Amino acid sequence: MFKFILYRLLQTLLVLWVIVTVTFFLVRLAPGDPFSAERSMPSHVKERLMQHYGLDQPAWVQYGNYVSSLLQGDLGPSYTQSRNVNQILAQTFPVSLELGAWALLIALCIGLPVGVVAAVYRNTRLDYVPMSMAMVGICLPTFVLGPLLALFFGVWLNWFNVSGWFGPHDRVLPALTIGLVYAAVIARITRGGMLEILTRDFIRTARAKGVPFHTIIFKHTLRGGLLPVVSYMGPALAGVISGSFVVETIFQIPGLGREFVSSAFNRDYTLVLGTVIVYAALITLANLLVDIVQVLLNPRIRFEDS
Amino acid sequence: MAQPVLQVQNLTTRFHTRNGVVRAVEDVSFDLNQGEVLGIVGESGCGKSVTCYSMMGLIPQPPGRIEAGSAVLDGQIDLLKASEREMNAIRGKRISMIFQDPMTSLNPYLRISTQLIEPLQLHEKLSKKAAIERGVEALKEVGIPQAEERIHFYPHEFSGGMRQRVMIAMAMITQPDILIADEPTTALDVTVQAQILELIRQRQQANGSAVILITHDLGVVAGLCDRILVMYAGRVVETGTAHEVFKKARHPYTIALQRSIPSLGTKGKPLYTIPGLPPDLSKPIPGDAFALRKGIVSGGKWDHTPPPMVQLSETHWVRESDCELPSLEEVLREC
Amino acid sequence: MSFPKSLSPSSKRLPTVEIQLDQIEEGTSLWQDAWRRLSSNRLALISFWLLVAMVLFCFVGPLLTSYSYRTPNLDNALQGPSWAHWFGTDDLGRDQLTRVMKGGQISLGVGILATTVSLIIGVLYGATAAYLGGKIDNAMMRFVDVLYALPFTIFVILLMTLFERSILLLFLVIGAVEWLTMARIVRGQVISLKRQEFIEAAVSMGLSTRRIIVRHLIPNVLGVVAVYATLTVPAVMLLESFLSFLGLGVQPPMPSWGSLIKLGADNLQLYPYLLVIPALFFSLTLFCLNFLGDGLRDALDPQSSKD
Ligand SMILES: Nc1ncnc2c1ncn2[C@@H]1O[C@H](COP(=O)(O)OP(=O)(O)O)[C@@H](O)[C@H]1O
Ligand SMILES: [Mg+2]
Repeated sequence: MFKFILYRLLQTLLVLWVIVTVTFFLVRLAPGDPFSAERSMPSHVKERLMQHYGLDQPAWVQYGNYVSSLLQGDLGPSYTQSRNVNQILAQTFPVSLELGAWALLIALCIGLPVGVVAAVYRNTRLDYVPMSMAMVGICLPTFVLGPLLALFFGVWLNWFNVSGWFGPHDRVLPALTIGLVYAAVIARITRGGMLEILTRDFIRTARAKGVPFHTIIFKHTLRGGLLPVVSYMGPALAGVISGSFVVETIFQIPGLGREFVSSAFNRDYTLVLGTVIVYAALITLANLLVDIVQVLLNPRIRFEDS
Repeated sequence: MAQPVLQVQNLTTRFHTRNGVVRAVEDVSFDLNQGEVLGIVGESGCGKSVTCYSMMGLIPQPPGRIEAGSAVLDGQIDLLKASEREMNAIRGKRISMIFQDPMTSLNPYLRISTQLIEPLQLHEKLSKKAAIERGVEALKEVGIPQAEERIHFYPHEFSGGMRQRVMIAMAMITQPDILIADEPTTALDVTVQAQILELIRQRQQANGSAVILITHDLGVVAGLCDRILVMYAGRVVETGTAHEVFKKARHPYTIALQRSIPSLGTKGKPLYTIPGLPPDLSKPIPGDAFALRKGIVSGGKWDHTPPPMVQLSETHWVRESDCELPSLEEVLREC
Repeated sequence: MSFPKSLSPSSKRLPTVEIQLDQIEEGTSLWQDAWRRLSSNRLALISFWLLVAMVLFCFVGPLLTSYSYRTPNLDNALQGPSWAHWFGTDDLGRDQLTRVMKGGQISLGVGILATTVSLIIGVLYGATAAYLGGKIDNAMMRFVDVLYALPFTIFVILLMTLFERSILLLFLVIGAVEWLTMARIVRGQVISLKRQEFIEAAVSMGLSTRRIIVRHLIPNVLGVVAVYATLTVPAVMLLESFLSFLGLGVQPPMPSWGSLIKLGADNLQLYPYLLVIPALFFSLTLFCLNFLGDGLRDALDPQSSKD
């Protein structure tokens, strides 16, 4: 088990390194530079700026410099903002993290129970109604649901603010926007996974032993039934992140997602790299976590790998 | 005579599927006496499993429906009408069951120990520690070496034969009055089959339980059963003591099954196979079901109603039939 | 609470040998059967006809309106729905009905074309891997696994922001994301079919390789591919509209449902019709495509069906 984690951790680091490298050169390959946005800038000023930031050096020298400072935890200066990248990330990341955490919490708290109930009472109203709603939910992506929620609860009912990120009130609509879509997906996956297990022979064995219904669900079915949900958590996190790009734009939330989109537009090389690193680390670590949980839940993988 | 532990009467179970009503079990009756081994024999799809699942309350409903009948335990409780709660108190305590495929019948996500001691925790309210002790003992009794260690393994670390041993240990751990074994050896290697059957017999004798042994192979039940019930197309066609069914068989289907037992057939000759296929149960069968079979000749005496059962001795009953079996030579020529 | 009686292992029975033997000579009956099941699925059928209507609306509709989707008419900006402009006008005074139609062309068109791209790559890649088998198969699938692990949306956004945005780049980027799953599915399907009893039976019955491929492998793989393709179209449309919403997809004056929704989102306080109408069209289309895909899956593979 320990060996497995170590191995996967190394793999994760490798993936991260690839991502950093690819992004680094991709950004520099792209036409334009951080200062091209301000057209009025005289060319000698621009040259001096380029020199100041070391942007006049060959790409591989820049790369070496970047990686060595990265290893010391320094993500470099921002080319378009007065704060450096570390400061920007420190301010915006917690906001996005909170948003994402609420969203995932909503998704799991709604999706799991609904999926379990639908599977257990399949082909009854307790199955049809929530599953039809889940289908609707899947067809309402964040960028549709967000504005609609804002219109309905913000503008018409006036229960929440349409934008901003101040009180706990302001968390509701953005978190719901992302959370509901994934609640729908998780409900469907949960239902499928539970049904798969509930129709297996060993459930019949358990019933033949006189195991009561709730024990069959909680003890015999959930472990295997929730495995697909666990493996979906990786993609779900990636989805929540891309959802945050949209939601932070719609509700004007000062989070990392907005920073990422605008920094790419502005060719703010270091800020782009910084955000990509944070996201990539988040996603790959989540994948690692998912793998570990999966191994813990499924004895069969556990033995094959060790 | 003492009261039978289980009296099944007129059991009728049907599946209402999209493609019609499958008459899986029609009007099946039998008694199971204390401590006896009853064999239920018939080809695949004859309704043997459905008969037992009906008594255990394990029929999926819908599409299944128990249309009629009763299955009375101890002359008191009708299993077919018992509530889920009552059934849970009976299943695993009074009646246990083992299944055909040991590879899928154990939960791969739970340790053997967890599954093995579950009946003890449920029905005898034992503490975990005491239950594990009993579990180790039970594993030893079914011949699993290093039981103290192995009890904590997962199912996939056991071979098929070993898993079936675990299933037997799990079924017998509460010393039930009735053990239902649904084709316990069909999925196993030939070499293991005999061991498992021997084990079932040995456990049965140690506990004094009654056993219902389901199989499609008459040879399997030969040395093991006290009484035999032969089923065809959802109905009982012959029932009697082992001696009666083997030596005085009257129904052509029973005779056909006998002829297809490898060890009983004359050596050197090719094996007899019953020609044709069992009938499609999703259509009503008007008369003698066996007569519908391709390659079977019938006088057509029972074209509209199922043929009646006649009693030959106190224990021997047979369904009338005027079907005639083709000889081995004829069957071979067909091929 | 008691155990729902309908749940039991035996309700999910394995197909008997007879069914598989049937398939040997009657590869086509598989499709007839599937069609019968599909047309008895009312939701899937309704979805299908709604989609046909949607395609007609988007591709034939613009010929019938007298407005242009691109020429601004600032005097007429932000008018609510009226007889002249059923869906109102946008911030530049263009007829919103025409723009919704045109946006649908783009969204549906990108959806179908990019799906085709990913389909071709995925099927070729997956089938090759399955066909070659062994180490090559292993290596090819490892590569797919590695790509899967990458945070793709982020790269897509990077690419679309950094480079000059064009429809071609959009296709490439979306196709590059979506072929992975297709490759996996096709490979799995081919491999499992290679092992299946009825193929072995067909081989042992002496059917020629060509006949086996034409009558059994292709129809069986095709079914799965058709189902997955129907489900990929909405996924692609989602990605396209997501990018367009962020301003990274189709560029103005060309509309897409995503960019129309963005305009609506920006103006929702005062002009909610700009949001509600495109959102409705977009979601309805996704809805129909998903239902149709689900229906197809149930029809082609009754065993995997949800009930
Ligand atoms: N869940 C079900 N739905 C429909 N038909 C079923 C179901 N379970 C069993 N049957 C049918 O009932 C008949 C008897 O099956 P079974 O008792 O399993 O036969 P066997 O004698 O081999 O154990 C078969 O024709 C089978 O197709
Ligand atoms: Mg059976």
